[in-house]
Amino acid sequence: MIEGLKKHHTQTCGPVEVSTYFSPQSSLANFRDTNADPFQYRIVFEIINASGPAGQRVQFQPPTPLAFFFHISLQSSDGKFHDLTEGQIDPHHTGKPTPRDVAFAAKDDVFYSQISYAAFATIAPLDAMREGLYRLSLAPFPIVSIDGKECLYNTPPMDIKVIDGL
Amino acid sequence: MGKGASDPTLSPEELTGLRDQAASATAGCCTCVFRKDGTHGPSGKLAQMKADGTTPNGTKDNAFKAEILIDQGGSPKTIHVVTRLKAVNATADTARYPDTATLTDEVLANRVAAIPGAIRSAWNAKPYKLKVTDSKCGENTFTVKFDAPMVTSSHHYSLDFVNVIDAATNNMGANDDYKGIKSGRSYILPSSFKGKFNLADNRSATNGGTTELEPHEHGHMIGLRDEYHDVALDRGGVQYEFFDGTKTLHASNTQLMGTMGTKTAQPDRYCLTIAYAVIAIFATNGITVTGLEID
Repeated sequence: MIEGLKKHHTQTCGPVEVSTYFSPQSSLANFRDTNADPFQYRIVFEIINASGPAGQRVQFQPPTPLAFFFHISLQSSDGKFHDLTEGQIDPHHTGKPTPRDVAFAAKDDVFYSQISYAAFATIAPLDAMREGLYRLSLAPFPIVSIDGKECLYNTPPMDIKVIDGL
Repeated sequence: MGKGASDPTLSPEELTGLRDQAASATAGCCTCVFRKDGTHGPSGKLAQMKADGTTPNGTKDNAFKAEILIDQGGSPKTIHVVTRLKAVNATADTARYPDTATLTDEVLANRVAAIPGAIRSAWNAKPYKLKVTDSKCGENTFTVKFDAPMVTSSHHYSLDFVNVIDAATNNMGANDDYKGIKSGRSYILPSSFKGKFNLADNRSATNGGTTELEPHEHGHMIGLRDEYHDVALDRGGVQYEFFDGTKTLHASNTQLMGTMGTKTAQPDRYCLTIAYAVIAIFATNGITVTGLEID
């Protein structure tokens, strides 16, 4: 449970449990990166050392830079979602996805990684971002590796209502 | 004494004078100053390629913001491209940029003061010339002069400056910034007209470095794309379509928008987005360009 966020998906990856939480509503300001608090609306990845020992280590791959993982669509008046994804920064400037080591001091310890909705300005043009219902699709990817064994994480799309003035 | 490549291209008085002249320009005039301060393009004439070098990846040139003044009556005839940059001190903003180390506003101001000179040196070194032909004014050759002053208001680009020290070792920081990119990396977000520059990057003029970082980013601030060839990232360079319809593809090079081995802007193609913006300004002022060459 993360206050204000909706639990969206949970998957067991060996000794750890990986969950996605997200804000089902966002201000347009946060989407357009004009919010004072960039993390007011966000996606959070939670990794719990559910059954591993103290000292359990995992290699965590956050789904960043976003251009390597996400697609973003906006619902139009006909009810269909139209892909807005358009890389705003060349991959040479973003760098490639880089896994990081995470060590859990004890069983049931928790690690969090978060992405601000402001980050979607890196994969969609600012003038395309307006009020409406957005669908974020995250391609399946190996979110954690444990002892060299990858765990493919398969998150269903997330729908986010974006409201001006929220 | 004449101005050097790193000197400001216009004094405040000269800039005000050109703006005043532009305010009284008339349509079709061949000696007037034409001016547009705002968003230019995109031209749609640049196309980034996939690694195969033949398939467009869907990315075109960017719209960009600048003040462009076409001084037809000057001697020499000159096109001024002025990109105003606002520095935001984000060195203490560890919420957005977790690895940054704080610098005072005074230190930041001193450091970023090196940026305009670095950009002018790189972009005015050639210098670029545009030979413009139209049915009213005939053939005229303009020298293109670039400037990128730091301002506190009326900016074209707002730049967050961070100070991620281990970027000097090319690790680019331990953690991602709030946009999911390593906190020490520099970039321009073209559709937002924003960017992030790392003062500790060893290629930055602000760091006494090799100075190509800001001139490269300036290329993005006039709409240009990266020319890198990289199979792993499925990038194969950029195809440029010139005014006469000629198309050229450039990948795997050491130029400023490539791997930056050449630290000044030299290829004709780097003036192409400006050329198309100039054509549009002429059109707005009642002059249809029929020929344009970049030298």
